[in-house]
Amino acid sequence: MSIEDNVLWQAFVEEVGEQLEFLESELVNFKSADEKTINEVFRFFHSIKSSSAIFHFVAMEEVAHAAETLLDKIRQRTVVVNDDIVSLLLACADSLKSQLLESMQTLQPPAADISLLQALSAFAAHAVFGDAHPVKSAEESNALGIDPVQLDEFANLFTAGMVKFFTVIEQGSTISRAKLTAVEKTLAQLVAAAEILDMTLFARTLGKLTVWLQGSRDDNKQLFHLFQILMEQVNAVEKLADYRFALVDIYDAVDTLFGEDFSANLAKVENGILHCQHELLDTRQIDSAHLGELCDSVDKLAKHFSILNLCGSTDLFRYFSQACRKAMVSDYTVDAAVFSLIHSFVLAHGEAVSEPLRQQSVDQDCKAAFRQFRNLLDRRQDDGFHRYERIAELTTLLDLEPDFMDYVENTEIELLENCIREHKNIAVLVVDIESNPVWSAGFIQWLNQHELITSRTVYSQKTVAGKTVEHTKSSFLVAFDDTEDVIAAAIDRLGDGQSCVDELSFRFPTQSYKHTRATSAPVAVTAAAADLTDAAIQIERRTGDGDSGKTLRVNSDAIDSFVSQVGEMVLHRNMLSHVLADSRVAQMLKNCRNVLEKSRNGQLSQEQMDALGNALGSIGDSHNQLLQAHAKLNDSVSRVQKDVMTLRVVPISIVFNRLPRVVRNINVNYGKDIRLQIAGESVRVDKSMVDILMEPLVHLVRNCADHGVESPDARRKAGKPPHALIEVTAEQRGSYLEIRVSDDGNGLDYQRIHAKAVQLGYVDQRASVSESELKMMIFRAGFSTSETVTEISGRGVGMDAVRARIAAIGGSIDVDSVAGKGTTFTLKLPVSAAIQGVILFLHDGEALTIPERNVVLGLTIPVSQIQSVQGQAAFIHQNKIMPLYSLSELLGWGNRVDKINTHREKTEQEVIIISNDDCHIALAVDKVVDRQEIFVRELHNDLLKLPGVGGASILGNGEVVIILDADALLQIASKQSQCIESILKAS
Amino acid sequence: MNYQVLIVDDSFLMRSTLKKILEADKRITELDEAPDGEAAMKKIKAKHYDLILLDIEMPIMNGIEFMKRSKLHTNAHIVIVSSLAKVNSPQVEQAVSLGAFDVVAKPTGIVSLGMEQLKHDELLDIVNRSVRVLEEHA
Repeated sequence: MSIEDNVLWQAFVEEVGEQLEFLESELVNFKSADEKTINEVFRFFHSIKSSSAIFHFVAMEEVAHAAETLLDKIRQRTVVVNDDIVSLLLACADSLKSQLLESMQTLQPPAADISLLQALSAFAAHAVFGDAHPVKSAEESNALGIDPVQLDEFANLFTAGMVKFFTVIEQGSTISRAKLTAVEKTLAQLVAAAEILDMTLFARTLGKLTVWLQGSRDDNKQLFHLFQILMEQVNAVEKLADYRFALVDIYDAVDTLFGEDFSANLAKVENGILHCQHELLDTRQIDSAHLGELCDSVDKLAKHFSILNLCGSTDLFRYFSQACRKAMVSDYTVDAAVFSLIHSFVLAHGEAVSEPLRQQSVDQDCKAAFRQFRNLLDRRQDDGFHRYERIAELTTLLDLEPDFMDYVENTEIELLENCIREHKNIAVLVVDIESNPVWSAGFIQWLNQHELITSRTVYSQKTVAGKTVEHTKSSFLVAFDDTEDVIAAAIDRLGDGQSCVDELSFRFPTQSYKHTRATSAPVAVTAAAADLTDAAIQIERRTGDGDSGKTLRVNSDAIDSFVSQVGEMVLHRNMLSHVLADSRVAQMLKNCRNVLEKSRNGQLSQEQMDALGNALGSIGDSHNQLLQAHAKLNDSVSRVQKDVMTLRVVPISIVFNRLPRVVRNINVNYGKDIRLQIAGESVRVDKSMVDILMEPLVHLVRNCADHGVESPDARRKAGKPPHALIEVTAEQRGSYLEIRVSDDGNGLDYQRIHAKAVQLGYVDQRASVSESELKMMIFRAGFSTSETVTEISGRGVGMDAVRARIAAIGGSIDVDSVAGKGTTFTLKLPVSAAIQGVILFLHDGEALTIPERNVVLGLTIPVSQIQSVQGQAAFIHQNKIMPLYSLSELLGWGNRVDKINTHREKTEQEVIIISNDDCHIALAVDKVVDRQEIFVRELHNDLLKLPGVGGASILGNGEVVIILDADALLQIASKQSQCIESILKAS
Repeated sequence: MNYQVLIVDDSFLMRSTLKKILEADKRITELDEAPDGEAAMKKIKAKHYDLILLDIEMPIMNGIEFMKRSKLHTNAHIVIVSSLAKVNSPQVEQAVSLGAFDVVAKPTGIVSLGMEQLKHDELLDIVNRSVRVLEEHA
């Protein structure tokens, strides 16, 4: 069996490939990586190492091992991540990737990357590693000596077990044998778990519970006693291990069981009440330590009341302790009114417990009073505690003056919170409003265009001519949609050279605010973060096992084959439609009936006639049924076709994830300061598009970085922020996808393009060429205006290749440029590369198709209008000379004798005008048939080498049809008549 | 006998490899997989396993935490499958002190290019031993 068929080899290639993709996108922003990301990256290198070992790929193992070792140091915080480390790790990922590719091609173990290994060991030798600062682990054992993780597991087990126990025994004598056995088993497991953890007392009590269960189960008092002991043990464990059991669940389960059978517990409850009363009297002056104790005892009381099943009251106690706890950390006060209320409840409850008859009425009282109490506390919380908490968070988040709290209004807080959630940029502006009224007027007008949150006056002292003068300024807290640089630039412009702004400082939330993702660096980081989450989802989806049931790991070849088979099914359906749509069948049946009718008196006997008539009748019926079945088949095939396309759909982030890396490389290697902003990465595209789009997009971004963006110095001179912005956005618009790559650089340099075009002989020196013509020049082969050929771009092999790639999948590319402001490339692409709209026509009796997007129009011209211009057939179309070509000629199918002019026997000629925006040519065809949507099949490579052939498909009648490559045709045409432009100009 | 095995590892390749190796032992009637400790916890709560092959470095819940938690639920033999260089790491030591049945190095070089030969004697020996222990107890 060859290695290619080996499932493990396939898993290796896929998994390591995915991990490397993921690593690449994680590592780009690794400097700001959190602990989770570091661990993840560590794990991936670790995993690649182990995977490589399976195949004994020592070279990969060594690289992964070195990276893993380095990451372990990072993980233990003995070294701080810097640019060198990121570059080194990226080099590791790159090296692993090329080694993987190498082994995929050669099916041999890859060669060692000696230079990288040397670099790694050199780094390890020279780097200074600090002492390990292990992240404070939860392993530290507590007073109980039980591992916290195991305690947590035990608590889960205990809670679940108790809930199960109490819900089952609630059923009294009607418990089924099976359920009883199940509960016994649960208890046995609990006992075993308690013994493993050396909680022998717990185990013993649980054992007694088992004995109770196996007995007559009618002594509720004993049960409650056991339960109480268990709860005491739980409390003891909680205190010793500083851990909380989820007891509420158990209380809920116990609640209904014990009901009023709790008088035995009265003493304990009364003690609690007394304790509370005492506390209440003592703590008029609230001391947080006392309040804490009070809360604890109220909580305990609540637990007991909960067991006593006094409705409403437990809520009240919990609410009370909650409020007190909040009061300890805020300026919200729990005052005498609150205390007297709770006091009266404690008393009422005490009485209710001692006189069970009164319980009902107390319950009623409780409910009414609870509402009142809650309202009271809620109000306090709203205007006290809650306000405090929100402002305190905002103040630290935005690093505001502490007195912010004193002057901010509630509505302003809301406004600010909204702005943060909307990722606006928040800034503090301190402005001297008074000294320059003209400037101030402009400033205020400008300010009004943004979200002003607060404004206030600040006083400062200024020394003017030896005297100290009280000086007033205004301080504004403002939220902007624009980035900091845009704002800074706008303020500079306002200043008209002199600025009255004393301070402009942006306050970036350093951590997330109320579960909202932070916008620390709104430009690059958030986009990258979004990328990463997408990528994370991707990875998770792939690494999760089949259990989740939602996703399956399917070989993409299998999907491709499936898609192509569905495509074939569609074709066969079309063939069937073709046959059924043939009206001749119905006509023939009709004819048969007519013949039969006419020969009524002929040679056939009546019986024979009837038999024939019946036969025809049933043929007609089955034909109708066939038509109906076909209609249904039609329907379902269309649905399958639609569904199958979604199988191959993936988020475009897979492509976009590459880009941050590209930009980083440029920044590092060429001293640029470019930020990348990505939007629309969740737009979904057909998987086939991903491979096709990758290179063109990377090229476009490089092109923007190299040609578009100026050096930081030049930018500063032009009044732009020193760091440039490249934006990449994807958007789905109906059936096509639009991707824009734009920069805020200098725009296209038309003069240079013109000079270059002249140099290359594309245009005449003196001819005036419009900007729109010039900008299309950059898509020509061999066109590069860059004086120096750099690594990034400028080798002149880019834009034409980009355009060809995009055109090959039925897309188009356009460029827009504003001098000094930037360049935008717009790609329009079909969502799927597999289905294309084409124009079907006949040529020399042969059916051919040409992509619809290249066809400008089809028309019929009188042959007499065809003239010869410098030996080139042409006709006048809309006052322009339109060169006319014979397809046979262009494709080299016939010889040149077969020229259009020789077709003198015809009086009219059908032509199709095709274009690639640059130039138009007309093709002579026999007949234009119609427009069709066809499923593009891949052609054998040898066939693709034929000039002008782009692909193939199968028509409804089963005929194979060639899809012509219009761009190639145009190229051949322009080669044949050296320069169409010169012909055009001659007119 | 019925011998049931659970493989816990975040790498699909590693799970598949271990599975292939263990398929050689015909006594193993069931071979399940989980990609992390948490998924594995769900599995062991629902079903009994005799042997658990456990990776240490995993997302969501790592091998050490899984060992601590699983102890309260199952007495399955837990074998740590560790990468070669880490056999003496503190984590492995911790796993052993938590009662790991054995520690075995991750398989290396067992898929040679061009042919399929999957044998990992050490791992199969451990399975043998685990089965023997279970039979003695039975």
